[in-house]
Amino acid sequence: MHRRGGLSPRAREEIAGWLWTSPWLLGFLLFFFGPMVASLYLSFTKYAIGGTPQVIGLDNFVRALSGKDDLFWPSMGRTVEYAFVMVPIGIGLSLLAATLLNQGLKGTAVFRTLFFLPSLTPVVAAAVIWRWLYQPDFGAINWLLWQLGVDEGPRWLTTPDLALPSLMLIALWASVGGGAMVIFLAGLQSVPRELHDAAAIDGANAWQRFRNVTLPLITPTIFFNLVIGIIAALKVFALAVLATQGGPNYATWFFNLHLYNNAFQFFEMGYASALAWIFFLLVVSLTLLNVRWSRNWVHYEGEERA
Amino acid sequence: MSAAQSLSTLARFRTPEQVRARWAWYAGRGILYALAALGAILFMGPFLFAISGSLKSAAEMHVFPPPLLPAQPAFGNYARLFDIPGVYFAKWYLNSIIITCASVLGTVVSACAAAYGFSRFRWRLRDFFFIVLLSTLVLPEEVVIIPKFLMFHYVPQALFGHTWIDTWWPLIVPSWFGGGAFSVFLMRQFFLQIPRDLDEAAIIDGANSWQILRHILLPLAQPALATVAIFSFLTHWNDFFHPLIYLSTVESFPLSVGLRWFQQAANDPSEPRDHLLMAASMLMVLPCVLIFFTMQRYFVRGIVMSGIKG
Amino acid sequence: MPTVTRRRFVIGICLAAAIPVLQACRQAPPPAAQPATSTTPQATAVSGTTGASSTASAATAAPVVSTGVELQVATRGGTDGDIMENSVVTFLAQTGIKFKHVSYGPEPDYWSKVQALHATGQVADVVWASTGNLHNFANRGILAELDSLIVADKYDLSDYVPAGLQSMSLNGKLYGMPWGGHPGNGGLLYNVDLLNAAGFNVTEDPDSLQNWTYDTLRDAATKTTTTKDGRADVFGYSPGTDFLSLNNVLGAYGARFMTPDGKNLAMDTPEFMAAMSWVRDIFMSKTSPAPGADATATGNTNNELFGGGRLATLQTQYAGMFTPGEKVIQGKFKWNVGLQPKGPAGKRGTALTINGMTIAASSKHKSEAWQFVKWLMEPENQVPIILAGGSRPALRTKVLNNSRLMAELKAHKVFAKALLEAEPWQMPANFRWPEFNSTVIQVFGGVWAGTQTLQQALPEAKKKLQDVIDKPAID
Repeated sequence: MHRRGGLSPRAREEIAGWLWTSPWLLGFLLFFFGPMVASLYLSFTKYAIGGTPQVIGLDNFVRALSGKDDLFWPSMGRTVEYAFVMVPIGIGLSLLAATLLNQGLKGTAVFRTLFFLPSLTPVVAAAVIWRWLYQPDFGAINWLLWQLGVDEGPRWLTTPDLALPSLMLIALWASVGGGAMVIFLAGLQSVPRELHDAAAIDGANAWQRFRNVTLPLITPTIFFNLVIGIIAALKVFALAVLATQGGPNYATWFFNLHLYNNAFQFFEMGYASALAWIFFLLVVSLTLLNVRWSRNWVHYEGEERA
Repeated sequence: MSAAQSLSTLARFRTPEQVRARWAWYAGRGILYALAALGAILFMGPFLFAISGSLKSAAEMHVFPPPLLPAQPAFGNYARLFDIPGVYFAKWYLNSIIITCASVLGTVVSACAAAYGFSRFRWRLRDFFFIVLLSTLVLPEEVVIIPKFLMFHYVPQALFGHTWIDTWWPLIVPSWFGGGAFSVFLMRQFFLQIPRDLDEAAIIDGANSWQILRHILLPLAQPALATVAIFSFLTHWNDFFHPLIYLSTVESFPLSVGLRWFQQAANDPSEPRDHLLMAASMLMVLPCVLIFFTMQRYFVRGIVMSGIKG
Repeated sequence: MPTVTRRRFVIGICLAAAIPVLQACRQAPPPAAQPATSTTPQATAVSGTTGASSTASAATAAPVVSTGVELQVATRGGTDGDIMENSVVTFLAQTGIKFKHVSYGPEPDYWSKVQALHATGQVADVVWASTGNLHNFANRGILAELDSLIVADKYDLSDYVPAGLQSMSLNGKLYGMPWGGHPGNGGLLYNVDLLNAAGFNVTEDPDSLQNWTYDTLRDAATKTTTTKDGRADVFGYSPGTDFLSLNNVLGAYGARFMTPDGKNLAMDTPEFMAAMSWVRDIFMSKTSPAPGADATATGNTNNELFGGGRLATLQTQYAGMFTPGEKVIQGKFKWNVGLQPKGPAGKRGTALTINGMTIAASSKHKSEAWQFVKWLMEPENQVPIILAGGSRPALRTKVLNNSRLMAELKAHKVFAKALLEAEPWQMPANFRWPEFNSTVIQVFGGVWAGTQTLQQALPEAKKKLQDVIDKPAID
């Protein structure tokens, strides 16, 4: 083996490792770490683009957490409500769909494709289509209700109590058949047939087999989907912007929308950075809680995978 | 009687339990098929309405009850999209294609490089940075968007004399620096599963790290590459948030922001638009569907191989 | 699916890499819009002025023409951009001063862009700024005050509408010229045939509506609404739910959202309740299509319904926009635009909204910029654009009472009168009008949907609106 430049193979490996990873490292510093530090700094300032940042200490955080910004807690609550209703339902339905597709029905591939298509839809297109479906006077949903005898279908997106569930429905439509379902499919298919057969021989019916054999073995998959799902749900933004603009009467005024408005509409970038950091801490805490809680119910086969 | 004939004679004599079990099985299957069909209808229903809407005339969109099928399918709606003053549909489409392709390329290239570094070499802090990589999955983009916005404004200003805001650079450049944690993670998992013997054989022959990557790993990694490319394509094609923040010149919008602009603020307020919006949505979904159909088998395989499920 | 061989992969990379590089070369230039490539009616209209009688203003001004200097004028793009593209060409031909049009994109991104560019000293010389954000910018030193330029040029402001100038001023100093104005959302699109069929005697002359009150409008809305199978087939009237639309109704009833100094709310008066109840009744009585976001995928349902003959009346802006436009209606029914009715207080609630032309404080060519702004305000340069449906009239009597506009624009005469009599622009004292507007749209959502009465919604609404007013000015 050649010895180039007097470097040992070990040293060469070390250098090569750093070199190959350097684009990502550089990107991490430039587009994650650096901006995070910067936004932490900004969160202690008052800053409208076009001016200079003035350090004001903890004022932004006080303003947010004490309720002086009277949209902070409601938007936080709205977002958490959205996530904690949508994610369990979404995961449950995804699991149901995956199980359905795992039954060896004829045409499973076709069904899988049809289920998956909505998740491919850009959120803009989905919002446009669903806004039209929800149109109270000419839309398909109220028309269906009319067929069923309901004369005056509700005004879905402009009634404060209905707006949030309506958005949830759109989000469910776009996510149930998507990545989560495919991941569940993979998980279901990795449950060894022998276990099912053994349980069947012991007299277990389909439900019992599912509950006692399948479910425990796919808990890692459920856990993964739960973590990713909650994070994604907390970040909801585009749907609110496109379908309801945060209304009516702030019913869909999600946290990220609040952040965006403060930064880019009301030009308060310091305050928005504080909001962003509060959000980040929330996400991290929830994820850690999730991980901690998972020890109670997630069952790994063999060694824990990275 | 032959064995077969006696067997079939025997088969005719089934016990009541067996018959009932048979019927139960059929019923169960029937329910499953019904459920699957229901799911298919629910998922595809909105698309069907959108397609039917895209073929209606403007007046038909505001009629109750809405006709399921237009009186005369107005295929011209699709052509009309490209013709509306102030709505640069063709340009938006092209913009989306360019931005997405450039980003996908960057993602694939840099994710491969990073994954290679994480999987095939031992270096100090490797595992630490891998954890860091995973934790960026958790990071909400919103935390960093303001400083990124400011950075893309002031830094190029200082370096090149003009801002990068309202150009495509902020959308494309980050994907060339790692392309996102998910892609790196996927590729790394895949690389880990390729046996090292091939590497070692190549090293004995005097290959350097680049050659190993190029000649050994990449050819074997095509399914994973395809998966990363698909995910990346979908992510960038559908991206609404970033172009919204960085771009303001209407002609430079990708389709996502362009469609929203068409929806809310288009140039000619008198132009009836609902049917055109349906057509535009369909056109926007089309490439995603095409990509998915052609790359389907890589997609599921890629997820399975990444080992995410467990 | 063809196999992805190594060679094809590499070729693919090269090809794909070439495209963004080429594209980047095109994108690299500083934030300048690609020039509008669509030919519009405005083009022929404005170029018609080149041969017309030379503008008196250009002759009297002694243009300080800097050699080779190219100034910039920024607009939102779209129709405004098209107008500006043609204007700069004509202006160059007449005065030799070169302007380049740049588009900063549609609102609300437009405002962020102006601020960002101001921070780096690169904002255009002439900047379009509407009353929504003009005062905010003036307060922060982004815009230059025009008084010194006017005095130095001995420019005569006597034919300008005082309320118009006042709406463009801050602390007594003028910061923009009222290039185009409309009386808030004070227009009423109406379908002559539908109204006549319901027993209301109107013609295509908007004067036939001049004596309508809000009661008349309510009556007309109810009578023109027809149902089929229990659902509305033709709607009667569609009110707006944003600040400008509601302000119009409020003004007619003698109420306003806030006190004239913009420091306090004025929502406790019986007139306020009466006006808002009127709007609520319209939504509750089902003579209107769904409000706000439901209105359609586009938010454009009202225009589409009106154009299809399924909506009898519609609250709208200045007539010159002619929405939805004859090209959609194509003679299927007779229609025109009039003014919103008078209220119990005997007046209309018109209040000016102005699109202004301002000069950036950081501009190094303020006198040239002033020449352009002055030129833009001249009737010869305004009238053809307005006639082509591209803009609203400037707030000066020479333009408002222009004989061509009066003769050729169906509804201009009632609007001219309204503009002359309108109250000036109203906003919070801290200049946070956009925030106030979006809050107004939000807090009454339940009222329009029928889930809350006005009394129920009012405490929370007042709290939120007062919060906006109490915030310090942006700086």
